[in-house]
Amino acid sequence: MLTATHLSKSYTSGKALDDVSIQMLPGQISGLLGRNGAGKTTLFRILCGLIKPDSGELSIASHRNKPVGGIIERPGLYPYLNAYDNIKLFAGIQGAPADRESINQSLIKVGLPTDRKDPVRNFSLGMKQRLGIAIALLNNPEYLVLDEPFSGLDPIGVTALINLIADLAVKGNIAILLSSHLMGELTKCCNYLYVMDKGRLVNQGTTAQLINHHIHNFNITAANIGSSVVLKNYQPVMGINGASIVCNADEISALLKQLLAEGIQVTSCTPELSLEQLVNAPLQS
Amino acid sequence: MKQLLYAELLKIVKQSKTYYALAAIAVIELLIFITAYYQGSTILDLLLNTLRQNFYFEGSLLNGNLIMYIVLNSLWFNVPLILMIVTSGLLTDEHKDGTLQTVMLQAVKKWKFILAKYIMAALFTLLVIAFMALTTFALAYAIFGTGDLVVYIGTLNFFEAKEAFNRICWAFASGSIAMVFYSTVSITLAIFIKEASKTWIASALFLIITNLLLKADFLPAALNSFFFPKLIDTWQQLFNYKVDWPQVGINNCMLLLYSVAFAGLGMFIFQKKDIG
Amino acid sequence: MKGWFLIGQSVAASCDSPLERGGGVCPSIVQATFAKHTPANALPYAPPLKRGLGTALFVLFIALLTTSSLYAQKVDADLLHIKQRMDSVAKFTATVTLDLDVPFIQMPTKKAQVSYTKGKRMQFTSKDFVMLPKRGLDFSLSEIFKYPFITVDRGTEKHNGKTLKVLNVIPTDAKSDLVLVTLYMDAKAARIMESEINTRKDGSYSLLMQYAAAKDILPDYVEASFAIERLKIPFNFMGKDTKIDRKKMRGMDTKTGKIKMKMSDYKIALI
Repeated sequence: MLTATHLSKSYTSGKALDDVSIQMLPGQISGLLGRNGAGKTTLFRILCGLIKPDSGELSIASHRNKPVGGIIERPGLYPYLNAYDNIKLFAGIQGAPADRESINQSLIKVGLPTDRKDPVRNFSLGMKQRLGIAIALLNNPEYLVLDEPFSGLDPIGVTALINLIADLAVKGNIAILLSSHLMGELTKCCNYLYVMDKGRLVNQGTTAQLINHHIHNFNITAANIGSSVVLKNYQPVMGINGASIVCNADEISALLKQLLAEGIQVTSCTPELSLEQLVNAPLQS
Repeated sequence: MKQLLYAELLKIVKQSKTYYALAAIAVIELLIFITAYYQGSTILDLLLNTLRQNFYFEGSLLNGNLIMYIVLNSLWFNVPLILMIVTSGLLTDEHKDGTLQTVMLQAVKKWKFILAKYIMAALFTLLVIAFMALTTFALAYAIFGTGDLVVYIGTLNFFEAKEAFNRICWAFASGSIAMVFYSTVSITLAIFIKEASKTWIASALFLIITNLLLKADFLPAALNSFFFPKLIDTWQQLFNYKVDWPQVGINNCMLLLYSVAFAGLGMFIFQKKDIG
Repeated sequence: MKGWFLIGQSVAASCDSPLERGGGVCPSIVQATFAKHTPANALPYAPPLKRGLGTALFVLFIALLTTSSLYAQKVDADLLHIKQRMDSVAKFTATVTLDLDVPFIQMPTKKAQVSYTKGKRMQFTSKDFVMLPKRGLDFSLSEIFKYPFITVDRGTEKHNGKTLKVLNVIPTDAKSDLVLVTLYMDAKAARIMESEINTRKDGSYSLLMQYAAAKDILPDYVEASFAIERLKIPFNFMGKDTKIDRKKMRGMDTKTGKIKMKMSDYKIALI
């Protein structure tokens, strides 16, 4: 387990972190939500050991050479080297296995081709992220910290990355901490969520708890949504293929049953949760 | 440590920047050859003009040894500038590409990492000087042949062919130590400045100031000989008619000490500083 | 008879022959001037009264000529003797070891091969770069004898324990490069020991000769000294100059330079 208690860090521009405490448990994926400038990156730097906090404690239960692996802001890769050489270099400098077999394993683990020889500068953002994760996983860390891994990815890329991360957590029993300012992605893959604003932790809880407590809006997609009668009670805003409604999380399943009974061909139901909601209304725990 | 050095070597070999630098040095050498071929005798005539009143000359002074001496003179500014740009890039590129952060996220000790950079910079420098020396030796002697060397350092000094060759070899060796010093400084500057183009400006400035201070005498005589700008011209002292070998040895040891000092400073700051 | 004095007062004053004391002619001048003239050529046709006067003058002339020849022979005999000895050398080759002693120039000892053929300039060959003095290699005195000249006996001087005969040689033809040459001769050994040469265009220099054996006509050591102007070097050439000793350079406007030549391995071919 990784435990950070009462971490604070100030810079000349202001307080970046103010009394932040988090935990990372093996096999669990935690999410860190926050706007740009909330202090997420600073926290991650402290967790990775790049900077020292002004106060607070960080305890990492691990005896490995590299307890925490991670990507901060963007994957730093040598653009003039190919994927193979990048892994070989980073593995070699820390004494991790750098033979052909191990390197290919690393590439396969993150879904990268083993036969691609061109330099990394030619890679798409998604592939760069994957390579970054491969490098973060070198030397088998027990904890993985990923700062905004979905930024710049298209929806297909996001989905692929989410699947990869979920796979790593389960199969490798790695404790993973992700950060993003995008709600939808985090709610899909994380077990636990932390919410930060202006350097402080303003909300936290399991994903289910936060959703149940804070979600009041849903998007329902259905081809004949316009013909629903039941929906009129939920202040619908009609779109082309669906509607946005005001409904509590504990009521949604009942509503869906009613819609189906009406003959409405519901194809999806997505909760709408805004960051503002999470920031402004803390969970009563 | 060995792995870190290998990593640095891999980076140098795989970057096109390295080859641009080597090409630049080759171009400089080529220009020297061309100028010497077409204008060498004119320049020599100018130099020896005063003597023509009383003497006539047998034999040619425009030979491989003279060309080598002129090539050595690019150790004042041209070569160190190119070297400083490449070696400072060893660190500034890592800042720019974010790889410095990635490296620090691995199980690597900071001081070992930066020490590997200093060592590789020194080795690269020596390699470049060796490359320069060998290529110019081969071409100079092939095209211009051998012969006496004339050099003006306070007095007009003439050296016989074999003596000249020996002195030139020693000069390259001594000059390479000065170049290692400059490379070390460029990495230390990169540690402070981090950004590539600003580091180049600082490196060029350091080079210019060092060359200016070489001619100036601000300090009392006792300290003067220990002040590092005064040590940069040690390779040229090998062309005094009588070489003060102990002084040359001391100067080079001092330059090495200065290099170690600058490297030590750089390592200390790098260790202390946060990354990112 | 002042018309006969071709060179100025100073020469006449130093001429020390019995004929001269009465205000007569310096014999050497007569000898040189009349070298190419015969008495018959000198006298044009004249009318009878003038013929009588002319005959008297003619007789006086012959008398003068005879007496002057005697004196001329006595003063220039040594120089002529040396010249004859020199002329007996058809050609020679030697190894020259050159040492330059010039302020602001440092050069190691150099070796060159010299070859001389009578009537031609000296030829030097060397593997290395060598700097050879323009002047001072003229052993055969051919430069002096190229154009007509007059000589003035300056007596003797003692140099290095040896008594040397001092002779001034003054070329009379404006075409000659030489203005004045002072020769210090070892009359007994019949060779030149020292000379001071002043030229029209190439400055002045002096030579010192040493000979191995008493019979040698060619020296085994020659030292040429000359005035050398301040060295003008374009400062931005040939690398950065660390310290240019300006004080030393300023005081150096015209100084003496020397080139020391040791000759060895002579192979002489005599006529």
